Amino acid sequence: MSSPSPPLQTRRAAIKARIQTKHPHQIPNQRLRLLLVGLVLGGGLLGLLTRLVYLQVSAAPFLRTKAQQQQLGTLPERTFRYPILDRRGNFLAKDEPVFRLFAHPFLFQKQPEEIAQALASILNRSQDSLMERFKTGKSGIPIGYRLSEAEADKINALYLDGLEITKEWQRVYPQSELTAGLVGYVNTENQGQSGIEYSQQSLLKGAPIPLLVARDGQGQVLPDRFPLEPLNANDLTLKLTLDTRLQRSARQALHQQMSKFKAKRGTVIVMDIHDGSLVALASEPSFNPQKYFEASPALFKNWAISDLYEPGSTFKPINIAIALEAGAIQPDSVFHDSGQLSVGGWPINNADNSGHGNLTVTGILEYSSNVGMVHVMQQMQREPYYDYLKKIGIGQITGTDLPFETPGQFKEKQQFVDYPIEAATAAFGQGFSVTPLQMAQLHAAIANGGKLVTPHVVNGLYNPAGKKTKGLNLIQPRRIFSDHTTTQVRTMMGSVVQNGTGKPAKIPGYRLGGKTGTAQKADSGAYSNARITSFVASFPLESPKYVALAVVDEPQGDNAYGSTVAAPVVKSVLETLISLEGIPPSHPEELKAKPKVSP
Amino acid sequence: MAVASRSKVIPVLPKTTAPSARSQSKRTRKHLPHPEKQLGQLDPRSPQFPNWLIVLMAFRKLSTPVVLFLVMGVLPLYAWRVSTQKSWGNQFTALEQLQRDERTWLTRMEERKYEISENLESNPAGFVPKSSKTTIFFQPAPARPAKPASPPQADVTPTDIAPIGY
Repeated sequence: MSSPSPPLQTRRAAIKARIQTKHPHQIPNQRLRLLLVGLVLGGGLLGLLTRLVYLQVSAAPFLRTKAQQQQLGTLPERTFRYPILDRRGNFLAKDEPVFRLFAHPFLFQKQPEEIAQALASILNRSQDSLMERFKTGKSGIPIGYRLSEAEADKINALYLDGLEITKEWQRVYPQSELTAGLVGYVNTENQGQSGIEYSQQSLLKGAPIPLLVARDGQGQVLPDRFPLEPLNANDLTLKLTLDTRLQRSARQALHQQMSKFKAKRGTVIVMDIHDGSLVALASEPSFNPQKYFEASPALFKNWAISDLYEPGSTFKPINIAIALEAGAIQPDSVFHDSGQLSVGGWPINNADNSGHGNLTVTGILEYSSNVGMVHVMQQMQREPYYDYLKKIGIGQITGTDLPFETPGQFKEKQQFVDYPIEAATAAFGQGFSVTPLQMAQLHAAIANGGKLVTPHVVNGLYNPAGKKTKGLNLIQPRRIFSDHTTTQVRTMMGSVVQNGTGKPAKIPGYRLGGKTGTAQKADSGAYSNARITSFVASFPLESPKYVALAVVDEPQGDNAYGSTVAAPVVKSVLETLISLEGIPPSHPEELKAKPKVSP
Repeated sequence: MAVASRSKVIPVLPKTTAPSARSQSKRTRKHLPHPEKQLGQLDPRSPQFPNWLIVLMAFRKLSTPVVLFLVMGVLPLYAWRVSTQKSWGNQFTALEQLQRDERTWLTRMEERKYEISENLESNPAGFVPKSSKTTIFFQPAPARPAKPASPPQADVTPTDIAPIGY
């Protein structure tokens, strides 16, 4: 080889020679170094593997729990109590979130002045008043009540230590006094205290399963682990059978008559006769459920359901149905009305203190003759009469879903059978008591062909798809009269409105069956001058769908009778019902405009 | 390392350096052995590299660009994943805000309905409540007898029909 000797080589030549592999670079301890590097790298790899195994196997459960604690959370609950809707989807009761702010000064990281300044603008309070509050304690100082969601968000965005926001639910009643008697109210612990809120507490209390979601570092929700079901799957609503429009109209009509006659209280009930669903139930006076603490506690019970009254003449059609059903009389039986009668030593008069001579059963109803009714019911034995009264439910509750229902008062059987005066007074609707709701139920039985339905206002719990998830377990309808009997009674009641005391309730173009009632109120054992007037109607007469009952308590004035006080209320309510339900006139010829008479 | 080729003939650098041969004068070149004879040639049947190494090197030729592509693609993919998550999260926050607005709006609407109705009682302002007096019922017309469908007139030319609109 013609290469120069190594000591004289220049560095460049040496490198060149190495590249050309003439003189491979001799590394001293090459093998040892290689081994060392290999060991270091291998050791590192082994260490990594060990750490990996440790993390994935031994520490896995702990790490998983820790990760879940950091990432998993629940979506905020959408409501605390299910909302209550009327038949057409208007909200009658709804939950709104409200927030409370508490301060814990011992946890403040910044100066109290800074925190007070930041809060002052959001809470609309002065900085000084907040500073004063901060000084009152070390922890748990309430600063703000009833904060809205926007304000709570702003305070959360401040990220200040020592401030705590708690979420509460407040029940809102958009319809206020209009439906307070039915819906009721809840107290500060969200427990229902009256009305549907109380009686359906178990249905209304939402028990939604909290939905788990994963959140990232900023608190935003991640799409992994998001629940597959729709978010509103648990948004159930309690639907009522109530129609707010009719309720409003009923309340307005009641107000009008009550203020005209300065009555103490009143109620209007409109019920569907076939299933007992209440379309309207207005009781006056009412209260504002959002300010229930300002109302008198006596108002929390709906008096249409929990107070008793002696029905008076409105009970006469029921008695006639009983007598017809028992075969004691015929529709064309005639009785003599002398105007006065003495039963067991007690005098019985007609309301107008005059006799009407020979009257058919229809005539007795038209004139609302007490004496006539006594004669009618005397055709029946007292014992079967008592048994029938018991059978139709006098002295028992109707089984409605509204709370605080009172069973009527009824004499003992022995007393009823022994003393003829009891049957005589029962003949014209005095001597026993019922609730207005029970009265409506009994007249619905006359109207629907003889079945006693259970009045109710709750339809059921519905899911967002419109499917009923839970209904009510009500008493099944039972038969108390035959179809034939009720048809006869309905005809008689139609005549009362056409020709008798029910004329103020006539609606042109339509036919309805009705009965007025003017009863004296019993006060500490004796009948006083105070009256309770009522009017009941079944509409339309040809094929009834609804029964309407108006009861006005203690109207003042000489002209305060069922026909003058209560009948116009029912007429007004039925006129609205015609328009709302689109019930066509049965006698359209009565509606034709009269031809103009030229002067 | 030399790049593997399909043939197993791999040129090997000769023991004598060709440039140094060139640097020498021409006259000494005559005394050198012939370059071609110096070029060694391997026997194709005895490859220098083992089979598996060649396969591995072929695989590496294929996989290197693939891996490069994958690595370069991972980052944008991950960025896309995070951005979809974030946009989903933003949409969900917007949904929650909408739900909150809907709830507030519903409550306000119901309260407004009540206010309007209450005001109407005291101040009708020309509104009339619904009653039978303001409702019209009319009898539906009797059903017309079905007319047989007339065949389309074939003799109607388009020019016969004058446009109405002009």
